Parts: sequence; structure tokens; C-alpha cells
Amino acid sequence: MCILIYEEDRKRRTMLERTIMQYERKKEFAIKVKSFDDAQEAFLHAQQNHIEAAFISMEDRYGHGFFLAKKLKKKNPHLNLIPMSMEPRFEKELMNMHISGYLAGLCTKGKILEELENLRY
Amino acid sequence: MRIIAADDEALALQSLEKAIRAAKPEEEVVSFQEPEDVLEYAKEHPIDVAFLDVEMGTMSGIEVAKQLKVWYPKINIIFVTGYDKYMAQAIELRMSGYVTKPATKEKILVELEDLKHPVQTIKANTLTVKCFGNFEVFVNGKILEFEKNKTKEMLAYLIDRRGSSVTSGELRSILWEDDSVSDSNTRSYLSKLKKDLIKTLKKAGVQDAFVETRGKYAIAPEKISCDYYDYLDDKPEGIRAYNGEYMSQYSWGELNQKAFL
Repeated sequence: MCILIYEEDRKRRTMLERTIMQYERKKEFAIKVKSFDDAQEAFLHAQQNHIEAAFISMEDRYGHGFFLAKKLKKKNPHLNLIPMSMEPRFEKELMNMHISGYLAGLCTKGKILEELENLRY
Repeated sequence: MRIIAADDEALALQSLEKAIRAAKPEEEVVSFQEPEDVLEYAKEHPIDVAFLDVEMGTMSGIEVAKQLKVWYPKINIIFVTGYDKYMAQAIELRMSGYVTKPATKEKILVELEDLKHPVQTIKANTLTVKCFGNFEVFVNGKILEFEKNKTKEMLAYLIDRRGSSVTSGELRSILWEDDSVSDSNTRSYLSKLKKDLIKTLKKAGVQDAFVETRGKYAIAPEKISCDYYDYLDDKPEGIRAYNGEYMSQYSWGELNQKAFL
């Protein structure tokens, strides 16, 4: 499974990467994780690779994360999209995209694992 | 699939029920105006999909949804609303989707065709095969048992070919790949397997699934419900069914496994 992370905050990005790699070891199937702090680079990577799940930050003030999410979902309608932010943002639009879940508030290992265990597709 | 619709406003409920029935005329739809009636009904009747108005007077749709989720964790909750303020709570509940008022057939269809927990409908009197993981064959939910193990493997190979004709030579080379069995013996065995296959399918009422033309064998894909075919056709139920293994009890199945990577 290919998972993409878009998160500007380095600490959260590292937490996500580590938790996903731990999940891979526990579940014994292959997961490739690629993380970015730049939405454009994330999108370029997604164009060349089939992404099955994406943790996308909605925090940046210009809405880059939201537009990235829209483009990724358009490319792969069965993408497991998991938006992330301290307070939920763009909920209505994201619900229209049939998101897999939402990481609201502090990004914890438990929340990340819960999302991985409950992927929509 | 059992679908319920709930709205405390009679006109809105009528419109919602009409839209659901237009979208899925073959499915069971039950309507309620009172949230308490929803819960009373749900205690005795498992529900697959619930279209709930968010504000229902005495009890909110969110509270109803929470209780339904306790009884049926895989229920698909779809909120019908004009309000944004409940979105955050609805997301926490992992709802399947939402529909804005007024509900229309098109909006309902979009939700029912992309449920968070797809409802597995067992197609009656149809040969149903499971290719991901171990290969298994069902009719009306019951496993189909063949007299010989190799009959099942023969059917598995024909399923893998997805309607393309297979000669007896090709089948024999697959079924007795590693065995040092003489040509005349494999011909004779294959004939017995074919008889076993036809007899078993006929007994289950699904003999149309197997086709023999001028000594070549095939299955009729349109007569079969198959997770592998759903995957190839990019259907959500096929994609969800894929678990990293394909006909794992057959060595030749591993070769086709690479097609999925």
C-alpha cells in the first residue's frame, strides 16, 4: 500500500511516518510512505504513483492542503483521504469527497492507528 | 438491503422516501417521523443504511446515530441536512455521507453507490466465487462441494481465464503440472472432472455458468458473481475484497498475483 503524507509541521510529519511504519511491522504487509511539506511536490509524486491513502493537513492558510486533497481524490476516487487539523475545516466539502476519516486535534499515535484500522476503501 | 428514513417533518420525509425508492426501487425502505420509533424498530430489525435528519425535535439525528452505531457498528449513517454546524460531530461518528435538502434520486444514488460499509447482497441462484485469499465457490450463500478436489481447481482456472476458451491440453498441463501422469490417464481424469463439474453445477441450478464448445471449456462471466472480476472492473466491492492473495491454494495462482502489484 502506498501512503502519502502532506504536513508542514516536521514533528507531526515524523510522528505520522513512524506510526505508519510501526503499523506496517505489526500487520506484516508492505506499506510505502512518502511525506512532503510542499503540496506541489506531493501532487507530482501522486501523479507518478498510485496512492491508496493520504494524510493531508488542512492547516495551511492558503488552502493548499484542501486543493491537494481535491486533486488527489479526482485522480483516484477510491483514495482513503484523511484530512488533519486542530479544528475541523472544510468539513462540508470534505464530506462530499467521502473522506475515510478525520484527524482532528492533537495528532496522536492512537488516532493515527484508528484511521489506519478503519480505512474506507 | 434494509434502508430507513427519518425526518420529523412529514413533507420532508415523504420527499426523502420518494427519492430513496426512485433510486433503489428493489430495496426495503421504512420511514419514521419520531426518533423514538426509529430506535424501537432498530432493536428488532438490523439496518444497513439510515438516512437521518439531523434535527428531529425531541432527539437529534446525531443521538439516534450514536445509538444505532452501538447496536450495528457497520451501519451506514447518511445525514440529511441543510445545516453545517453538525458536521464535526458527524465526522467523528464516521458517517457514510450526507445529503442536502431537498433529497433527490441523484443525491441518494451517489451515497448508496459509495457506502462506507458496502452491503453484501447475495445474488440468488448465481454461482458466486471468491478468488482473493483461498478460492471458494458458493450458491445462495452455501459452499459448493465437488466430488473431486481437482474439479474445483479446474473451475478456478476457467474463472481465472474469464470467459476465454481453454483447451483440454492446457487444462491438463495446469492440473497435473508436477505429476508424472501419462497423457491417456490425464485425458481420462479430465473427462471425469468435467462430469463432476457439470453434475455439481446442475444440482445447484447454475449449469449455465459452464460452457463447452468443440472440445474447449470456458465459463460464462455474465453468469458469475466474482470478486476478482469486480476488482478488474474497478468496482468498489472488488477493490475492498482484494487482500493481497489470489487463489492462494493453487501454485499457478501466484503467477497471476503479480498482475495486482
